[in-house]
Amino acid sequence: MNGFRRTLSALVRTPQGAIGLLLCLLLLALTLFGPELAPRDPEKFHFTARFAAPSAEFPLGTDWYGRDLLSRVLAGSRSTILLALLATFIGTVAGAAIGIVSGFLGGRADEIMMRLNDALMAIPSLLFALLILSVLGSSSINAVVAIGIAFTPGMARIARSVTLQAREFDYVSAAKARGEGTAWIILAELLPNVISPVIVEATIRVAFAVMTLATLSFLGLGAQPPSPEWGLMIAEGRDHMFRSPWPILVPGVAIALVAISFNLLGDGLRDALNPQASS
Amino acid sequence: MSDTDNILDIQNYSLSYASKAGEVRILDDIDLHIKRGEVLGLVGESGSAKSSLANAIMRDLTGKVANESGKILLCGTQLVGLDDTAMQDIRGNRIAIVLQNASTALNPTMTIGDHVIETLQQHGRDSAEGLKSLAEDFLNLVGLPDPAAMMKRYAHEVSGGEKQRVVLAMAFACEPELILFDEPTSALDATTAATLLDLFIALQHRTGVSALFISHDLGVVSSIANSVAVIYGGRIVEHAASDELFKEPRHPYTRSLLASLPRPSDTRTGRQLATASSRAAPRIGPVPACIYAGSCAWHEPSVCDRDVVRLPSGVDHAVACVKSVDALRQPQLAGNPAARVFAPGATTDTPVLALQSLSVNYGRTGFLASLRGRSSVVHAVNDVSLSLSRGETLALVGESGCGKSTLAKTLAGLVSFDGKLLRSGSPVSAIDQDYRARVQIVFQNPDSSLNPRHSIGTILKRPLVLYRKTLNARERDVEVGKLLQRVQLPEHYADRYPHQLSGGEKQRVAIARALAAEPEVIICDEVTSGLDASVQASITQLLRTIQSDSGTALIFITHDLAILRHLAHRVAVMYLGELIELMDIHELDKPPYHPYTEALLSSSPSVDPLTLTRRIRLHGSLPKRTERIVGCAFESRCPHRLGEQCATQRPPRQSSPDGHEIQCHIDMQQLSSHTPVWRDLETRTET
Repeated sequence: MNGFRRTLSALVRTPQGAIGLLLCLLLLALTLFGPELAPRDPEKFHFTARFAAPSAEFPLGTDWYGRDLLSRVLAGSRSTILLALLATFIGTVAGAAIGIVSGFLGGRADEIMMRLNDALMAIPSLLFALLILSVLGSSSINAVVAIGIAFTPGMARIARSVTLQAREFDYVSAAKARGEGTAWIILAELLPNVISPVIVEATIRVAFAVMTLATLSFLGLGAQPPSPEWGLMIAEGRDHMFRSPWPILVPGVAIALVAISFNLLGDGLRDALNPQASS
Repeated sequence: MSDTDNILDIQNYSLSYASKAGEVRILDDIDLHIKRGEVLGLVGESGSAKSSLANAIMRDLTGKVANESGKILLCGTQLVGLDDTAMQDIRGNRIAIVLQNASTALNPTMTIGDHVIETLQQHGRDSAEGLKSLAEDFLNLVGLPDPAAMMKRYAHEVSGGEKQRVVLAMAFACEPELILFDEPTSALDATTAATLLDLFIALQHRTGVSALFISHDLGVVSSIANSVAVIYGGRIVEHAASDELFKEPRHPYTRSLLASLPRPSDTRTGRQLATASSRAAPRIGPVPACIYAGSCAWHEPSVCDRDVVRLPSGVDHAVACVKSVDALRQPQLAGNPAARVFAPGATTDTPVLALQSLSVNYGRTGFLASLRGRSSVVHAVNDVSLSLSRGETLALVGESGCGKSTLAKTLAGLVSFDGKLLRSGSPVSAIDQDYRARVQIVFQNPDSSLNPRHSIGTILKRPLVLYRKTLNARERDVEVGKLLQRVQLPEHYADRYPHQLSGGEKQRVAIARALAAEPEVIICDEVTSGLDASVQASITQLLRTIQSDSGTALIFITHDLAILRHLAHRVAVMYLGELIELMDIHELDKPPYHPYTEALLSSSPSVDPLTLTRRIRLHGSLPKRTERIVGCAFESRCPHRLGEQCATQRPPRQSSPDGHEIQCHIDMQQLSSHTPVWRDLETRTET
């Protein structure tokens, strides 16, 4: 994977890329080992230490049941980040497939696909996700599917516009003149040239997915209590906001951190994947 | 204003940019001056930093400056180190610039009139009422018909040549002392470029403005410049009066540049093109004593590397070379004549490919448009009949929009057509895999035709997978190596990616890809256009070698007539989708010609001390492409127009016994009596 190594070295050369990559690797470690790293049982009540401020015993404080916030955030990282990644993945793959096929086919097929796409895009993604959830019923995995579908139209637009540019290159004409099949042209000729803006867009969308998932959980349509999902933690902590800010602050900062790191990674990737910059 | 004779005086100017790899020398030790009323030509190949010099004069440095030293004096005013506000007064007012691409130089949301008026206002002409008529005067000055109407148009409503005229009007509008031209005609058609150059020469005589004319095209420079400087690797290697330099080039680099340039007299003299191209000059690291040492055939370390080789000052013909002129006499190229083996038994064989009344139409008329009687169908190729024999090279020439590329795409099976297409005598009903394997296409721009994400190996293996199904994976690898060898590239290039190759190497890969299918016909669509002259010569040589080895027929599409003599057997000239003339290559040097061919031949600039070119210039505008032309397509611009019949009747196709075909109302006999485009100056072979 020569191209991969080249991209990686170009990525760490930009400050935002290096920081973004570092933070994302840390987050990945959290999702993998977070629950094991948790110093206490995230579900265990400590009635003597309700609403505790950060201390040596509870590094990030406790919530209204006296549950350790650090342990809850660590335990919740897996579901929050993994679900966000999954939602982005669904949206990216579906969107890129629709966009590239539509852009490559052009003409009437493109027109029909894109007008339908526009109609979906007119609905705000949160509202759209709510709509899907109200049909599917509320659960974490349904929230993921809903967000994935809600992301698809935007991704399709981006993939299509890049495809329209790439399609004009003579290597596509050369492939057609050679008698290549549509599958080869789309997968081998177009896809590698279209993928980088899509990847960049996807990394930025991960942050949105975390926030939308949190929002859905906050509204009670995603994860259900007592799950330590971050959005749900904020939603529950809201009732006790005036007794102690920690139950809201800790998961809030965690969400912000995820958003920032993926945004930084996206910015870094945008530069690194630009052929002019990396040559 | 200072009373010096020199409008522009560049003294010891050096510039380097900072980069990750270290300091990059851009311009080095430049000494140039332009006198009042002088036109200095600056020639060099791509990457010679010729445009960087224009940028340096305009103080528009594109990189991160690491070092800058020396002087750039405009009438005695030092421009290096001048602050931006002071420079603002100089740009446009005292130095104007005309760039290659007029369509990006004009703002698409502003009318032409607004452009000129804005330029006038910016530079202190603010007599509100007078501005408009003044602007019209300037448009009139640059020969734009109906200036008042032109003022109201937008950039997209006028042709490329007219756009460049508008840019020229804006440049002259402020009566600058110096105009910088950076490849102003490179993007234009030959006939348009020729009239634009004439216009500039006339304006220059009238206004006495000085100019720096930058171009890679030595022919253009030779027709316009008083003196010429040759730049290589950011250094001037030779500087002399224009006639002097082209008649007796001294520096090895200048010689190699001229030696790879085709001339109209080549068929007569049997001259061959030099294919050795110069390597890129070292830009990073220690400065070599002689900048050209790396590519010079006469380089002797003991003589050349003793001291830094500089351009001597105060001589008429300055050469940055320590060797004497006599020591540099070029060893004569092996004396086999360039004359092609003509007519390879063409008439008896069944043609490999034959087109009968082939037409291609683009677009369709919408329902509403048809109600209003408007058609939006473009007749890109109109009723073309041609045949191609085995081992033959047919050149297809014409200007942009004449349908030559559409014809290429049609034959490659990318565009659907009406009419009949025969391959080896049997009609082709559908473009199938068998046809595609036999007819291959090479595109103009290898940057676009080679997928940047595929390695050269992958690119070359694809046609093998598709057309030569008997090969297994290991045989394919071997075959890729063989293909690279055939196009004279090292085998290890298979692991490289297109961006790691130079332009000429990329085009060789594209040719190798076409060869992989072992085709009968290769269509070369402007394959040498965008390349430097020496690379063009070596690609041409390669195509000839391939043809003589394999007997492949070539369709060579080009707008550059000069190169044809070294490649083609027959020439087909297209104009607005119609085939107007078909002739043998040796008939290129003598009439009869179709009036359009005559003008096209006259417009292609060339550096040839042995030939005098008769000037024929075209005026008038092209008809709309969506209109069905009743008479002759060339009628609106034809200098030999007979009368009404040209506009109303379709010209007959006349043919001579030797296969020369001309589509014109004028009798072929009469066309034969026209003065030839080229005249020998002296009949001697090249020394």
